[in-house]
Amino acid sequence: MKKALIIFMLSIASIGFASGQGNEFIFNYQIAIPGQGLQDLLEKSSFQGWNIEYRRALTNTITVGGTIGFNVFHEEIKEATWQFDNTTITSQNQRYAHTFPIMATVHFNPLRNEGSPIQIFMGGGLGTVYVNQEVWASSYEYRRDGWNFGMYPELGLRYVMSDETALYFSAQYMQVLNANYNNNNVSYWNLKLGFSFGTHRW
Amino acid sequence: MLFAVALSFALTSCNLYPGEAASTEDLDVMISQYDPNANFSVMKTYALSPEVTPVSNDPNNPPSFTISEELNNVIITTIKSNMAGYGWILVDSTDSPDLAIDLTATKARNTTIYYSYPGWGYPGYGWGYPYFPYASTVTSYEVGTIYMNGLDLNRVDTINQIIPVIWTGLIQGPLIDNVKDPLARVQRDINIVFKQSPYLNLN
Repeated sequence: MKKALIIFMLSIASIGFASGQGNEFIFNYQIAIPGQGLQDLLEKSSFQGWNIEYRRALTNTITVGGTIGFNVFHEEIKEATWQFDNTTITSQNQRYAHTFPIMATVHFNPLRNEGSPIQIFMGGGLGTVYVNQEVWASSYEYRRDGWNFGMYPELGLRYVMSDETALYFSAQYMQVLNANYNNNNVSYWNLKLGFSFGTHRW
Repeated sequence: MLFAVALSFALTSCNLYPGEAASTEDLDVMISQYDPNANFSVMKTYALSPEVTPVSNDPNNPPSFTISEELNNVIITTIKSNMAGYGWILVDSTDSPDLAIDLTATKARNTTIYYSYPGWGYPGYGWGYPYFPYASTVTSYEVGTIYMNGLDLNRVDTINQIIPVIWTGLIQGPLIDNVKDPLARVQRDINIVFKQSPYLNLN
């Protein structure tokens, strides 16, 4: 299974070689920090996040591609009190948020320096994000989930290690529209550390 | 190699529900509710049920549990202390109190199944796999509930024989057997119920 996955990805990457263009797969570990909207539910950062990206070079400075990933947020609140109408409830809370974006991406490399292994890139993504938010209070459970429109800008560094491999460091600000329980936007920062393989001749 | 390390790290960090409730104490819930039409500010006195009455979930059978004298005393004492702190005067039920607090308790067995599965990408136990769901832990525990019902004795409907309940305090969890320091726990829970019912404060 693992072998098949690697062979499949190398095959796709080799298409870029054959056509003289560059393309690559990037595997990212990501830490997410809750922003506006999501902070209504929880404030703890997520250290359970992974993401895979595919980028294909259109020119020496522009790539297009796609990305899927996920983040798992969790916070335990020992004594949470919340009120609605004439009822007040206090209990321990386990709060969760799961995000699962599927997006098309575009990136620019405007300061490309041919001789340097370090490149700065900027770009963004546009697509849909599944956001699941849950509050567990004893045997009671509140849940809101759904697919919503999302987008993010991104700024990062790419360190080329060889013709086939590179390291990525980037930060993105994800904004998901109308996704929290008050129908406000949900946002979070993603700090990504990635490893890519493919062609880097662009 | 790097890919393998990353993959194994990914698998171990993909639990979608980390941090499930670790102890029965985590399951306590305190709920309070009031009648928005009630006017607590005109009240002054209250009567309190001298003991917590066990109630069966099955109308055909008597309750299968009792409330120990020790637990009963803690409940009564804690309620009295909180009511006094809010400025209420305790009177005998024959002295026309404004409010009567009735105390009952129920007990039931709950079973909770915690699912622990690695989530996306894990070969074998991912979503859609025939063996899903994969239950890792089954916990069975006694859930006890103490009800404190505040009855408005100034608005007794003698024709229809109805006494309006204008306040309810509910504690779920503390009748669980074999828990650490159950009396302190009940005391804490009752204090929370009163703390989250500031409309009872006559001061």
